[in-house]
Amino acid sequence: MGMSHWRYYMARALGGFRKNPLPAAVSVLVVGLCLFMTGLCSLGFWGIYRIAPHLLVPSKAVIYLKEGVSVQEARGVQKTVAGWPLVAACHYKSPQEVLEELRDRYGGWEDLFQGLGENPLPPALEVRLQVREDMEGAMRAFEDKAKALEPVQDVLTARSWSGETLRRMRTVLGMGLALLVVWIACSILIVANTVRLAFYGRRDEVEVLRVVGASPSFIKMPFYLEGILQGVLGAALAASLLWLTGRMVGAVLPPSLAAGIWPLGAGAWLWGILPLAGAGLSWLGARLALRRLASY
Amino acid sequence: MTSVPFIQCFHVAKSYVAGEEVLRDANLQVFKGEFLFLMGPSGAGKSTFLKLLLGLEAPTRGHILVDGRNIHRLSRKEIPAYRRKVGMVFQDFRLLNQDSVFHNVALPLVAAGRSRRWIRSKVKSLLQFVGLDGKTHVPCCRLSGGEQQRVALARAVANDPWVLLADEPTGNLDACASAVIMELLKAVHARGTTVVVATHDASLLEHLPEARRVHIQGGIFYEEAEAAAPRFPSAMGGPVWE
Ligand SMILES: Nc1ncnc2c1ncn2[C@@H]1O[C@H](COP(=O)(O)OP(=O)(O)OP(=O)(O)O)[C@@H](O)[C@H]1O
Ligand SMILES: [Mg+2]
Repeated sequence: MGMSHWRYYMARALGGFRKNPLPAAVSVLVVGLCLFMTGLCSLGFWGIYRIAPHLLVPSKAVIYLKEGVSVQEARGVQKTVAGWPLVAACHYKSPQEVLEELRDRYGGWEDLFQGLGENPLPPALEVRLQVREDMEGAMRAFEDKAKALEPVQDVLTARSWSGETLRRMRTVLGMGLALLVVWIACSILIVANTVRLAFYGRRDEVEVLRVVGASPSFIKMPFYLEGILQGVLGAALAASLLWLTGRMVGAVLPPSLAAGIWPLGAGAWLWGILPLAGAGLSWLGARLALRRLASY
Repeated sequence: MTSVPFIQCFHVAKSYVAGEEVLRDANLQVFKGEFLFLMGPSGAGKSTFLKLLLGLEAPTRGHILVDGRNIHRLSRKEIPAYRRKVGMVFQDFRLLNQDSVFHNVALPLVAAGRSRRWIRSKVKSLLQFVGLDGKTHVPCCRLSGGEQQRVALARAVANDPWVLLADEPTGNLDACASAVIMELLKAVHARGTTVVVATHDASLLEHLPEARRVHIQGGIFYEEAEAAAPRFPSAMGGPVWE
Protein backbone atom coordinates (compact mmCIF):
# COMPACT_ATOMS: atom_id res chain seq x y z
CA MET A 1 0.00 0.00 0.00
CA GLY A 2 2.74 2.42 0.97
CA MET A 3 4.03 3.31 -2.45
CA SER A 4 1.06 5.13 -3.92
CA HIS A 5 0.60 6.92 -0.58
CA TRP A 6 4.06 8.39 -0.61
CA ARG A 7 3.89 9.44 -4.22
CA TYR A 8 0.65 11.19 -3.40
CA TYR A 9 2.06 12.89 -0.30
CA MET A 10 5.13 14.09 -2.17
CA ALA A 11 3.14 15.41 -5.10
CA ARG A 12 0.83 17.29 -2.74
CA ALA A 13 3.68 18.73 -0.70
CA LEU A 14 5.48 19.97 -3.80
CA GLY A 15 2.23 21.36 -5.13
CA GLY A 16 1.78 23.28 -1.89
CA PHE A 17 5.25 24.71 -2.31
CA ARG A 18 4.40 25.91 -5.78
CA LYS A 19 1.08 27.38 -4.71
CA ASN A 20 2.47 29.48 -1.86
CA PRO A 21 6.09 30.19 -2.74
CA LEU A 22 6.50 33.35 -0.65
CA PRO A 23 5.72 32.05 2.85
CA ALA A 24 7.66 28.91 2.03
CA ALA A 25 10.67 30.97 0.94
CA VAL A 26 10.50 33.03 4.12
CA SER A 27 10.52 29.97 6.31
CA VAL A 28 13.35 28.41 4.32
CA LEU A 29 15.31 31.63 4.89
CA VAL A 30 14.61 31.75 8.62
CA VAL A 31 15.44 28.10 9.16
CA GLY A 32 18.58 28.56 7.06
CA LEU A 33 19.77 31.55 9.08
CA CYS A 34 18.99 29.75 12.31
CA LEU A 35 21.07 26.76 11.32
CA PHE A 36 23.83 29.03 10.03
CA MET A 37 24.01 30.73 13.42
CA THR A 38 23.99 27.36 15.11
CA GLY A 39 26.87 26.32 12.90
CA LEU A 40 28.90 29.44 13.68
CA CYS A 41 28.28 29.06 17.41
CA SER A 42 29.28 25.41 17.40
CA LEU A 43 32.42 26.30 15.46
CA GLY A 44 33.20 28.92 18.08
CA PHE A 45 32.82 26.37 20.87
CA TRP A 46 34.86 23.87 18.93
CA GLY A 47 37.69 26.33 18.32
CA ILE A 48 37.80 27.42 21.94
CA TYR A 49 37.76 23.85 23.11
CA ARG A 50 40.63 22.97 20.81
CA ILE A 51 42.78 25.84 21.99
CA ALA A 52 41.88 25.91 25.67
CA PRO A 53 39.76 23.10 27.00
CA HIS A 54 40.04 24.36 30.56
CA LEU A 55 38.15 27.47 29.48
CA LEU A 56 35.02 25.51 28.86
CA VAL A 57 35.69 22.86 31.46
CA PRO A 58 36.98 24.77 34.47
CA SER A 59 37.76 21.57 36.33
CA LYS A 60 40.59 20.75 33.90
CA ALA A 61 44.18 21.61 34.76
CA VAL A 62 47.66 20.72 33.53
CA ILE A 63 50.89 20.29 35.51
CA TYR A 64 54.07 20.69 33.46
CA LEU A 65 57.11 18.98 34.96
CA LYS A 66 60.68 20.21 34.85
CA GLU A 67 63.00 19.17 32.08
CA GLY A 68 64.96 16.03 32.81
CA VAL A 69 62.42 14.66 35.25
CA SER A 70 62.50 10.90 35.01
CA VAL A 71 59.43 8.85 34.32
CA GLN A 72 59.67 7.39 37.79
CA GLU A 73 59.71 10.81 39.41
CA ALA A 74 56.79 11.86 37.26
CA ARG A 75 54.83 8.80 38.34
CA GLY A 76 55.60 9.70 41.90
CA VAL A 77 54.16 13.18 41.49
CA GLN A 78 51.13 11.72 39.75
CA LYS A 79 50.44 9.44 42.74
CA THR A 80 50.84 12.30 45.19
CA VAL A 81 48.55 14.64 43.26
CA ALA A 82 45.95 11.94 42.70
CA GLY A 83 45.79 11.52 46.45
CA TRP A 84 44.75 15.13 47.15
CA PRO A 85 41.12 15.64 48.11
CA LEU A 86 40.78 18.43 45.51
CA VAL A 87 41.65 16.11 42.67
CA ALA A 88 39.22 13.80 40.91
CA ALA A 89 41.73 12.22 38.52
CA CYS A 90 45.31 12.63 37.42
CA HIS A 91 46.92 11.13 34.32
CA TYR A 92 50.52 11.00 33.26
CA LYS A 93 51.44 12.16 29.76
CA SER A 94 54.81 11.50 28.20
CA PRO A 95 56.60 14.30 26.27
CA GLN A 96 55.64 12.50 23.09
CA GLU A 97 51.96 12.59 24.00
CA VAL A 98 52.18 16.23 25.01
CA LEU A 99 53.73 17.13 21.68
CA GLU A 100 51.14 15.21 19.74
CA GLU A 101 48.37 16.84 21.64
CA LEU A 102 49.81 20.28 21.01
CA ARG A 103 50.15 19.52 17.35
CA ASP A 104 46.60 18.35 17.26
CA ARG A 105 45.33 21.29 19.27
CA TYR A 106 47.14 23.93 17.26
CA GLY A 107 46.64 22.10 14.01
CA GLY A 108 48.01 24.20 11.21
CA TRP A 109 50.95 25.52 13.17
CA GLU A 110 53.06 22.59 12.05
CA ASP A 111 55.83 25.01 11.11
CA LEU A 112 56.24 25.79 14.77
CA PHE A 113 57.11 22.22 15.57
CA GLN A 114 59.39 21.65 12.69
CA GLY A 115 63.13 21.72 13.09
CA LEU A 116 62.83 21.09 16.76
CA GLY A 117 64.88 17.97 16.42
CA GLU A 118 64.55 16.29 19.78
CA ASN A 119 61.30 16.73 21.62
CA PRO A 120 61.97 19.66 23.96
CA LEU A 121 58.77 19.33 25.89
CA PRO A 122 58.59 18.25 29.51
CA PRO A 123 56.29 15.45 30.58
CA ALA A 124 52.98 16.61 31.95
CA LEU A 125 50.15 15.55 34.23
CA GLU A 126 46.59 16.05 33.17
CA VAL A 127 44.39 16.75 36.17
CA ARG A 128 40.67 16.84 36.68
CA LEU A 129 39.66 18.83 39.73
CA GLN A 130 36.57 18.10 41.74
CA VAL A 131 33.77 20.52 40.99
CA ARG A 132 32.77 22.51 44.04
CA GLU A 133 31.14 25.75 45.04
CA ASP A 134 34.29 27.85 45.29
CA MET A 135 36.04 26.70 42.12
CA GLU A 136 38.22 29.81 42.07
CA GLY A 137 39.51 29.10 45.57
CA ALA A 138 39.96 25.45 44.76
CA MET A 139 42.04 26.27 41.70
CA ARG A 140 44.22 28.67 43.67
CA ALA A 141 44.78 26.15 46.42
CA PHE A 142 45.58 23.50 43.83
CA GLU A 143 48.10 25.75 42.04
CA ASP A 144 49.90 26.68 45.26
CA LYS A 145 50.06 23.11 46.39
CA ALA A 146 51.27 21.79 43.03
CA LYS A 147 53.88 24.50 42.55
CA ALA A 148 55.34 23.61 45.91
CA LEU A 149 56.26 20.16 44.61
CA GLU A 150 59.89 19.89 43.59
CA PRO A 151 59.67 18.46 40.00
CA VAL A 152 56.87 20.84 38.98
CA GLN A 153 57.74 23.54 36.45
CA ASP A 154 54.36 25.19 35.91
CA VAL A 155 50.67 24.75 36.62
CA LEU A 156 47.89 25.79 34.24
CA THR A 157 44.26 26.14 35.29
CA ALA A 158 41.35 28.23 34.12
CA ARG A 159 42.65 30.77 36.65
CA SER A 160 45.70 31.26 34.48
CA TRP A 161 43.49 33.44 32.34
CA SER A 162 42.52 36.61 34.09
CA GLY A 163 39.15 36.38 35.76
CA GLU A 164 37.94 39.28 33.66
CA THR A 165 38.76 37.61 30.32
CA LEU A 166 37.16 34.42 31.48
CA ARG A 167 33.99 36.14 32.59
CA ARG A 168 33.71 38.03 29.32
CA MET A 169 34.16 34.89 27.26
CA ARG A 170 31.55 33.08 29.30
CA THR A 171 29.15 36.00 28.83
CA VAL A 172 29.64 35.91 25.08
CA LEU A 173 29.11 32.17 25.01
CA GLY A 174 26.00 32.50 27.16
CA MET A 175 24.57 35.21 24.94
CA GLY A 176 25.32 33.11 21.89
CA LEU A 177 23.43 30.23 23.44
CA ALA A 178 20.47 32.42 24.39
CA LEU A 179 20.35 33.88 20.89
CA LEU A 180 20.41 30.37 19.51
CA VAL A 181 17.44 29.35 21.60
CA VAL A 182 15.51 32.39 20.35
CA TRP A 183 16.46 31.58 16.76
CA ILE A 184 15.35 27.99 17.12
CA ALA A 185 12.03 29.04 18.61
CA CYS A 186 11.53 31.53 15.77
CA SER A 187 12.24 28.89 13.14
CA ILE A 188 9.75 26.50 14.65
CA LEU A 189 7.08 29.18 14.86
CA ILE A 190 7.65 30.39 11.31
CA VAL A 191 7.42 26.87 9.90
CA ALA A 192 4.29 26.30 11.99
CA ASN A 193 2.77 29.46 10.58
CA THR A 194 3.61 28.56 7.00
CA VAL A 195 2.14 25.10 7.38
CA ARG A 196 -0.99 26.55 8.97
CA LEU A 197 -1.35 28.98 6.06
CA ALA A 198 -0.98 26.13 3.58
CA PHE A 199 -3.61 24.17 5.46
CA TYR A 200 -6.14 27.00 5.43
CA GLY A 201 -5.33 27.68 1.79
CA ARG A 202 -6.45 24.15 1.00
CA ARG A 203 -9.50 23.86 3.21
CA ASP A 204 -11.64 22.74 0.28
CA GLU A 205 -9.28 19.96 -0.53
CA VAL A 206 -9.20 18.83 3.09
CA GLU A 207 -13.00 18.81 3.11
CA VAL A 208 -13.02 16.60 0.00
CA LEU A 209 -10.53 14.25 1.64
CA ARG A 210 -12.71 13.95 4.74
CA VAL A 211 -15.73 13.13 2.60
CA VAL A 212 -13.98 10.37 0.66
CA GLY A 213 -12.86 8.73 3.90
CA ALA A 214 -9.23 9.74 4.21
CA SER A 215 -7.76 9.23 7.66
CA PRO A 216 -6.46 12.23 9.63
CA SER A 217 -2.88 11.10 9.16
CA PHE A 218 -3.42 10.79 5.41
CA ILE A 219 -4.75 14.33 5.36
CA LYS A 220 -1.94 15.74 7.47
CA MET A 221 1.02 13.97 5.94
CA PRO A 222 1.47 16.21 2.86
CA PHE A 223 1.53 19.24 5.17
CA TYR A 224 4.16 17.59 7.36
CA LEU A 225 6.22 16.86 4.29
CA GLU A 226 5.85 20.42 3.10
CA GLY A 227 7.18 21.69 6.43
CA ILE A 228 10.05 19.22 6.48
CA LEU A 229 10.96 20.17 2.94
CA GLN A 230 11.28 23.78 4.10
CA GLY A 231 13.55 22.65 6.91
CA VAL A 232 15.79 20.60 4.64
CA LEU A 233 16.06 23.41 2.11
CA GLY A 234 16.87 25.81 4.96
CA ALA A 235 19.59 23.42 6.08
CA ALA A 236 21.01 23.30 2.56
CA LEU A 237 21.08 27.09 2.61
CA ALA A 238 22.87 27.10 5.97
CA ALA A 239 25.37 24.49 4.79
CA SER A 240 26.16 26.55 1.71
CA LEU A 241 26.60 29.70 3.80
CA LEU A 242 28.90 27.89 6.23
CA TRP A 243 30.86 26.42 3.38
CA LEU A 244 31.23 29.87 1.80
CA THR A 245 32.33 31.37 5.12
CA GLY A 246 34.89 28.59 5.35
CA ARG A 247 36.16 29.45 1.89
CA MET A 248 36.50 33.09 2.89
CA VAL A 249 38.37 32.18 6.06
CA GLY A 250 40.57 30.01 3.90
CA ALA A 251 41.28 32.90 1.57
CA VAL A 252 42.33 35.22 4.38
CA LEU A 253 44.36 32.90 6.59
CA PRO A 254 47.21 30.62 5.55
CA PRO A 255 45.66 27.34 4.39
CA SER A 256 47.13 25.17 7.10
CA LEU A 257 45.85 27.46 9.83
CA ALA A 258 42.46 27.82 8.18
CA ALA A 259 42.10 24.05 8.09
CA GLY A 260 42.86 24.05 11.80
CA ILE A 261 40.17 26.45 12.92
CA TRP A 262 37.67 25.64 10.15
CA PRO A 263 37.20 21.90 9.90
CA LEU A 264 34.37 22.09 7.44
CA GLY A 265 35.67 20.84 4.15
CA ALA A 266 32.55 19.02 3.19
CA GLY A 267 32.17 16.76 6.18
CA ALA A 268 29.23 14.66 7.20
CA TRP A 269 28.66 17.35 9.78
CA LEU A 270 27.83 19.95 7.18
CA TRP A 271 25.83 17.93 4.69
CA GLY A 272 24.47 15.23 6.96
CA ILE A 273 23.72 16.50 10.43
CA LEU A 274 22.58 19.95 9.39
CA PRO A 275 19.75 18.70 7.12
CA LEU A 276 18.71 16.33 9.88
CA ALA A 277 18.57 19.23 12.30
CA GLY A 278 16.56 21.23 9.76
CA ALA A 279 14.13 18.37 9.28
CA GLY A 280 13.77 18.02 13.04
CA LEU A 281 13.08 21.71 13.57
CA SER A 282 10.49 21.89 10.82
CA TRP A 283 8.85 18.67 11.92
CA LEU A 284 8.30 20.29 15.31
CA GLY A 285 6.85 23.34 13.57
CA ALA A 286 4.49 21.29 11.42
CA ARG A 287 3.39 19.32 14.45
CA LEU A 288 2.63 22.52 16.29
CA ALA A 289 0.53 23.74 13.37
CA LEU A 290 -1.38 20.53 12.71
CA ARG A 291 -1.99 19.38 16.25
CA ARG A 292 -5.43 20.89 16.49
CA LEU A 293 -6.32 21.10 12.81
CA ALA A 294 -8.02 18.47 10.69
CA SER A 295 -10.40 17.61 13.52
CA TYR A 296 -12.86 14.92 12.75
CA MET B 1 -33.91 -11.70 2.73
CA THR B 2 -33.09 -9.74 5.86
CA SER B 3 -35.87 -7.58 7.20
CA VAL B 4 -33.67 -5.39 9.38
CA PRO B 5 -33.51 -1.90 7.85
CA PHE B 6 -30.06 -0.89 6.69
CA ILE B 7 -30.39 2.75 7.74
CA GLN B 8 -32.42 3.53 10.85
CA CYS B 9 -33.09 7.00 12.20
CA PHE B 10 -34.78 7.38 15.54
CA HIS B 11 -36.12 10.78 16.64
CA VAL B 12 -33.22 12.59 15.05
CA ALA B 13 -33.00 16.30 15.76
CA LYS B 14 -30.39 18.73 14.56
CA SER B 15 -29.95 22.40 15.25
CA TYR B 16 -27.00 24.51 14.21
CA VAL B 17 -28.19 27.49 16.24
CA ALA B 18 -29.70 26.99 19.66
CA GLY B 19 -33.50 27.02 19.42
CA GLU B 20 -33.63 26.61 15.62
CA GLU B 21 -34.17 22.99 14.79
CA VAL B 22 -33.53 22.07 11.17
CA LEU B 23 -34.55 18.49 11.92
CA ARG B 24 -37.04 18.05 14.73
CA ASP B 25 -38.12 14.45 14.99
CA ALA B 26 -36.93 12.63 11.94
CA ASN B 27 -37.67 8.92 11.79
CA LEU B 28 -36.73 6.89 8.76
CA GLN B 29 -35.92 3.34 7.84
CA VAL B 30 -34.18 2.49 4.63
CA PHE B 31 -33.70 -1.10 3.50
CA LYS B 32 -30.73 -2.45 1.67
CA GLY B 33 -31.01 -1.92 -2.07
CA GLU B 34 -33.68 0.76 -1.90
CA PHE B 35 -33.79 3.83 -4.15
CA LEU B 36 -35.14 6.74 -2.17
CA PHE B 37 -35.95 10.30 -3.16
CA LEU B 38 -35.73 12.76 -0.28
CA MET B 39 -37.93 15.65 -1.33
CA GLY B 40 -38.35 19.05 0.23
CA PRO B 41 -38.17 22.76 -0.44
CA SER B 42 -34.98 24.72 -0.12
CA GLY B 43 -33.84 24.99 3.48
CA ALA B 44 -35.90 22.01 4.58
CA GLY B 45 -32.83 20.17 5.87
CA LYS B 46 -32.06 17.66 3.10
CA SER B 47 -28.35 18.43 2.97
CA THR B 48 -28.24 18.48 6.74
CA PHE B 49 -29.68 14.98 6.88
CA LEU B 50 -27.17 13.65 4.34
CA LYS B 51 -24.33 15.21 6.34
CA LEU B 52 -25.61 13.43 9.43
CA LEU B 53 -25.62 10.15 7.50
CA LEU B 54 -22.03 10.70 6.40
CA GLY B 55 -20.93 11.61 9.90
CA LEU B 56 -19.88 15.11 8.89
CA GLU B 57 -22.26 16.51 11.48
CA ALA B 58 -23.54 15.01 14.70
CA PRO B 59 -27.25 14.96 15.59
CA THR B 60 -28.35 17.09 18.52
CA ARG B 61 -30.70 14.31 19.63
CA GLY B 62 -31.64 10.84 18.49
CA HIS B 63 -29.71 8.04 16.87
CA ILE B 64 -28.71 7.02 13.39
CA LEU B 65 -27.85 3.37 12.83
CA VAL B 66 -26.24 2.17 9.64
CA ASP B 67 -25.79 -1.57 9.23
CA GLY B 68 -26.67 -1.88 12.91
CA ARG B 69 -24.05 0.54 14.19
CA ASN B 70 -24.65 3.93 15.73
CA ILE B 71 -22.51 6.04 13.44
CA HIS B 72 -22.04 8.83 15.94
CA ARG B 73 -20.49 6.43 18.39
CA LEU B 74 -17.80 5.43 15.92
CA SER B 75 -14.28 6.12 17.10
CA ARG B 76 -12.03 8.58 15.28
CA LYS B 77 -10.29 5.62 13.70
CA GLU B 78 -13.48 3.99 12.47
CA ILE B 79 -14.94 7.10 10.84
CA PRO B 80 -12.73 7.14 7.70
CA ALA B 81 -13.46 3.46 7.01
CA TYR B 82 -17.17 4.14 7.46
CA ARG B 83 -17.07 7.09 5.05
CA ARG B 84 -15.51 4.87 2.42
CA LYS B 85 -18.64 2.75 2.65
CA VAL B 86 -20.88 5.77 2.07
CA GLY B 87 -20.37 7.56 -1.23
CA MET B 88 -21.49 11.16 -1.55
CA VAL B 89 -22.24 13.34 -4.57
CA PHE B 90 -22.71 17.09 -4.12
CA GLN B 91 -24.63 19.64 -6.08
CA ASP B 92 -21.43 21.67 -6.55
CA PHE B 93 -19.37 18.56 -7.41
CA ARG B 94 -16.54 19.34 -4.95
CA LEU B 95 -13.75 18.14 -7.18
CA LEU B 96 -10.10 19.10 -6.98
CA ASN B 97 -10.34 21.37 -9.99
CA GLN B 98 -6.67 21.67 -10.83
CA ASP B 99 -6.22 17.91 -10.78
CA SER B 100 -6.93 15.45 -13.53
CA VAL B 101 -10.01 13.31 -13.81
CA PHE B 102 -7.84 10.31 -12.99
CA HIS B 103 -6.51 11.87 -9.80
CA ASN B 104 -9.97 12.84 -8.58
CA VAL B 105 -11.42 9.40 -9.08
CA ALA B 106 -8.33 7.73 -7.64
CA LEU B 107 -8.38 9.83 -4.47
CA PRO B 108 -10.68 7.58 -2.38
CA LEU B 109 -8.70 4.56 -3.55
CA VAL B 110 -5.37 6.11 -2.59
CA ALA B 111 -6.87 7.09 0.76
CA ALA B 112 -8.01 3.49 1.19
CA GLY B 113 -4.43 2.32 0.65
CA ARG B 114 -4.99 0.43 -2.60
CA SER B 115 -2.03 -0.56 -4.74
CA ARG B 116 -1.14 1.50 -7.82
CA ARG B 117 -1.99 -1.30 -10.20
CA TRP B 118 -5.32 -1.88 -8.55
CA ILE B 119 -6.09 1.85 -8.66
CA ARG B 120 -5.22 2.12 -12.33
CA SER B 121 -7.48 -0.68 -13.44
CA LYS B 122 -10.30 0.35 -11.10
CA VAL B 123 -10.24 3.98 -12.25
CA LYS B 124 -10.24 2.80 -15.83
CA SER B 125 -13.39 0.75 -15.37
CA LEU B 126 -15.05 3.51 -13.35
CA LEU B 127 -14.37 6.05 -16.09
CA GLN B 128 -15.71 3.65 -18.68
CA PHE B 129 -18.82 3.28 -16.56
CA VAL B 130 -19.47 7.03 -16.49
CA GLY B 131 -18.34 7.44 -20.10
CA LEU B 132 -15.29 9.58 -19.46
CA ASP B 133 -12.50 7.18 -20.37
CA GLY B 134 -11.49 9.58 -23.14
CA LYS B 135 -10.75 12.39 -20.67
CA THR B 136 -8.67 10.55 -18.11
CA HIS B 137 -5.91 13.15 -17.95
CA VAL B 138 -7.90 16.31 -18.46
CA PRO B 139 -7.98 18.69 -15.47
CA CYS B 140 -11.46 18.82 -13.99
CA CYS B 141 -11.75 22.59 -14.41
CA ARG B 142 -11.84 22.04 -18.17
CA LEU B 143 -14.86 19.72 -18.07
CA SER B 144 -18.49 20.67 -18.55
CA GLY B 145 -20.81 20.61 -15.55
CA GLY B 146 -22.34 17.31 -16.58
CA GLU B 147 -18.91 15.76 -17.02
CA GLN B 148 -17.76 17.07 -13.66
CA GLN B 149 -20.77 15.52 -11.99
CA ARG B 150 -19.96 12.20 -13.66
CA VAL B 151 -16.43 12.43 -12.26
CA ALA B 152 -17.93 13.11 -8.83
CA LEU B 153 -20.19 10.08 -9.23
CA ALA B 154 -17.30 7.85 -10.25
CA ARG B 155 -15.39 9.07 -7.19
CA ALA B 156 -18.36 8.41 -4.92
CA VAL B 157 -18.68 4.78 -5.99
CA ALA B 158 -14.94 4.10 -6.26
CA ASN B 159 -14.77 2.10 -3.04
CA ASP B 160 -17.96 0.13 -3.84
CA PRO B 161 -19.99 1.79 -1.08
CA TRP B 162 -23.02 0.27 0.60
CA VAL B 163 -24.88 3.53 0.20
CA LEU B 164 -24.71 6.33 -2.33
CA LEU B 165 -25.92 9.72 -1.12
CA ALA B 166 -26.61 12.31 -3.81
CA ASP B 167 -27.36 15.88 -2.75
CA GLU B 168 -29.13 17.68 -5.62
CA PRO B 169 -26.93 15.78 -8.09
CA THR B 170 -28.59 17.51 -11.03
CA GLY B 171 -29.06 20.93 -9.44
CA ASN B 172 -26.53 22.61 -11.69
CA LEU B 173 -27.24 20.62 -14.87
CA ASP B 174 -29.57 20.94 -17.85
CA ALA B 175 -32.24 18.35 -18.59
CA CYS B 176 -30.03 16.29 -20.86
CA ALA B 177 -27.08 16.09 -18.48
CA SER B 178 -29.52 15.40 -15.64
CA ALA B 179 -30.93 12.44 -17.52
CA VAL B 180 -27.42 11.02 -17.95
CA ILE B 181 -26.74 11.35 -14.20
CA MET B 182 -30.08 9.74 -13.35
CA GLU B 183 -29.35 6.81 -15.65
CA LEU B 184 -26.00 6.34 -13.91
CA LEU B 185 -27.64 6.47 -10.49
CA LYS B 186 -30.08 3.82 -11.65
CA ALA B 187 -27.19 1.68 -12.85
CA VAL B 188 -25.49 2.00 -9.47
CA HIS B 189 -28.77 1.06 -7.81
CA ALA B 190 -29.27 -1.90 -10.12
CA ARG B 191 -26.04 -3.35 -8.85
CA GLY B 192 -27.49 -3.50 -5.33
CA THR B 193 -26.27 -0.24 -3.84
CA THR B 194 -28.70 1.67 -1.67
CA VAL B 195 -29.24 5.12 -3.20
CA VAL B 196 -30.62 8.23 -1.50
CA VAL B 197 -31.20 11.26 -3.73
CA ALA B 198 -32.05 14.57 -2.07
CA THR B 199 -33.78 17.00 -4.42
CA HIS B 200 -36.43 19.68 -4.67
CA ASP B 201 -36.85 18.94 -8.37
CA ALA B 202 -40.01 16.86 -8.86
CA SER B 203 -39.16 16.23 -12.51
CA LEU B 204 -36.40 13.85 -11.43
CA LEU B 205 -39.06 11.46 -10.18
CA GLU B 206 -40.05 10.74 -13.76
CA HIS B 207 -36.79 8.95 -14.28
CA LEU B 208 -37.66 6.43 -11.63
CA PRO B 209 -41.38 6.50 -10.90
CA GLU B 210 -41.28 3.34 -8.82
CA ALA B 211 -38.72 4.75 -6.35
CA ARG B 212 -39.68 5.45 -2.78
CA ARG B 213 -40.39 9.10 -1.94
CA VAL B 214 -39.96 10.72 1.43
CA HIS B 215 -40.82 14.34 2.04
CA ILE B 216 -39.15 16.45 4.65
CA GLN B 217 -41.09 19.32 6.12
CA GLY B 218 -40.79 21.12 9.42
CA GLY B 219 -37.99 18.81 10.38
CA ILE B 220 -40.12 15.69 10.06
CA PHE B 221 -40.16 12.97 7.39
CA TYR B 222 -43.41 12.05 5.62
CA GLU B 223 -43.79 9.00 3.45
CA GLU B 224 -45.55 9.58 0.12
CA ALA B 225 -48.14 6.98 -0.75
CA GLU B 226 -45.86 4.80 -2.77
CA ALA B 227 -46.35 2.95 -5.94
CA ALA B 228 -45.81 -0.72 -5.33
CA ALA B 229 -42.09 -0.43 -5.62
CA PRO B 230 -39.80 -3.42 -5.72
CA ARG B 231 -37.73 -2.63 -2.64
CA PHE B 232 -35.29 -5.38 -3.24
CA PRO B 233 -34.15 -5.44 -6.81
CA SER B 234 -32.65 -8.76 -7.67
CA ALA B 235 -28.90 -8.83 -7.50
CA MET B 236 -27.40 -8.40 -10.92
CA GLY B 237 -24.07 -10.11 -10.62
CA GLY B 238 -21.06 -7.89 -10.02
CA PRO B 239 -20.78 -4.14 -10.36
CA VAL B 240 -21.92 -2.78 -13.67
CA TRP B 241 -18.58 -1.14 -14.32
CA GLU B 242 -16.56 -4.28 -14.05
N1 LIG C 1 -23.38 24.93 8.95
C1 LIG C 1 -24.54 25.54 9.20
N2 LIG C 1 -24.61 26.46 10.18
C2 LIG C 1 -25.77 27.06 10.46
N3 LIG C 1 -26.91 26.84 9.82
C3 LIG C 1 -26.91 25.93 8.82
C4 LIG C 1 -25.72 25.24 8.47
N4 LIG C 1 -26.00 24.40 7.45
C5 LIG C 1 -27.31 24.56 7.19
N5 LIG C 1 -27.87 25.48 8.01
C6 LIG C 1 -29.27 25.89 8.02
O1 LIG C 1 -30.05 24.73 8.10
C7 LIG C 1 -31.20 24.87 7.29
C8 LIG C 1 -31.29 23.66 6.37
O2 LIG C 1 -30.18 23.68 5.49
P1 LIG C 1 -29.96 22.54 4.42
O3 LIG C 1 -28.74 22.89 3.67
O4 LIG C 1 -29.97 21.23 5.12
O5 LIG C 1 -31.26 22.68 3.53
P2 LIG C 1 -31.57 21.94 2.13
O6 LIG C 1 -32.85 21.23 2.33
O7 LIG C 1 -30.42 21.15 1.68
O8 LIG C 1 -31.78 23.18 1.18
P3 LIG C 1 -31.38 23.33 -0.37
O9 LIG C 1 -32.42 22.62 -1.14
O10 LIG C 1 -31.42 24.80 -0.61
O11 LIG C 1 -30.02 22.74 -0.53
C9 LIG C 1 -31.08 26.17 6.54
O12 LIG C 1 -31.92 27.09 7.16
C10 LIG C 1 -29.65 26.57 6.73
O13 LIG C 1 -29.56 27.96 6.87
MG1 LIG D 1 -28.99 21.31 0.14
